Amino acid sequence: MEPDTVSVVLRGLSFIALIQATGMAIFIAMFGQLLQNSLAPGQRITRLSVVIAVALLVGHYLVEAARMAGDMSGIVDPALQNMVLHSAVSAVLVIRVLGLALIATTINRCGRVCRAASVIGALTVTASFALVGHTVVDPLRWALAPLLMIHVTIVAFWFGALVPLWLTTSCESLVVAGHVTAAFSKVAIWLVPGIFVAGTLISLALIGDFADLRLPYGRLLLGKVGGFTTLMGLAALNKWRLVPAIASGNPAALRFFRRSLGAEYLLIASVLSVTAVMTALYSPES
Amino acid sequence: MKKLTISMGFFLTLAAVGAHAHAHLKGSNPSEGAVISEMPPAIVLTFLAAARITAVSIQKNQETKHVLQAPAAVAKRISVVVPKLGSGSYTLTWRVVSPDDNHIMSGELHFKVAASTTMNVPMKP
Repeated sequence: MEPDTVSVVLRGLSFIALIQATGMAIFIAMFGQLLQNSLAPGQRITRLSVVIAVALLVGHYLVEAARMAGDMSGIVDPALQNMVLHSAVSAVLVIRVLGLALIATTINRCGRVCRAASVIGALTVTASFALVGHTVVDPLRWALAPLLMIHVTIVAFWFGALVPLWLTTSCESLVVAGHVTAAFSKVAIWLVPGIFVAGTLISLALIGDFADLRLPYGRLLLGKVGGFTTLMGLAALNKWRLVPAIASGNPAALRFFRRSLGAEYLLIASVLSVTAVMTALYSPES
Repeated sequence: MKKLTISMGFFLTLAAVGAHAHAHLKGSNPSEGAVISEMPPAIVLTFLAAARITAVSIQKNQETKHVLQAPAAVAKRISVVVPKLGSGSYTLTWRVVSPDDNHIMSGELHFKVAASTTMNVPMKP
């Protein structure tokens, strides 16, 4: 089996689990007090996401040496594993696991301190994205690192809200569901455009020349933009049609809203997978 | 809004002058597609940015690949010692890691040796 393929699959899946766990922690910290029946299942799924994310992160870390060797036998090569151990890759793994551990230990508690700790865990995870990758070697790192953190945090806020919102519309009364979806929508309308602004600035700095958009990295980036545009269409449908309909007590709107959430989940998971391929196998100038 | 536009304009100007590079192959000796009469003591790979070779092998005429000793150096210009080579078509395959962003890249170099050489350099078992 090709180590590049194994690595990219593990990387993509780890992104999905990691961003989901992080985003769910942020959602529960922000809107947990509004939840009744859906809080406990949301907390359980967050802890499960943490466990899956840690397993995938460790798996991806081990395969890094195989990628260096160009062969899966690299996993047991002590020299290559030692090289990975002394690189930023291992530091990022430790930071992410610590952030996830903080989420897992605080997600079930309702106090203000625990909610804050949960958010700190989530921000620790999103900050780790600025420690490795293409932004690290860019002369504009001072600007790209915070932009990347903002970009990833808002993506996590959006992606991590989808499962709790689905649970809310399934387990809660129409009144509670209306309150929660309206509260989320009120915040999301200000935050979500930040994904595009931060993402565009990062891309402009990394790409440098529009002609590079014809290269594999550029094409995958354009694919991400296409996915994001579709997502914004769904978000607009939710904001302007479905959320007001739910708030006015229309049960049919709940069904459409759940379908919309499912479509958003698949789209964001696809965009995260594209990001995994783009950042692992290509560079902006290739 | 005006402040945001000015800030973005400033950022884009900086982005335009910013330059970064990954460990892409800039050149080699022998060069890609070269036909040489005599093999140099080592194949020299020159990258755009400092890199460390983590795996390197050479294959003659689609025969079995020979795994070579990967140099431990982190540099833009890296010499790879090659085994005794006869005439034929060769493909040198490598993997490098950039110490700055840990990006792993791979590449190939193709060349032909028109006459056999007498080099005898140790190979990794």
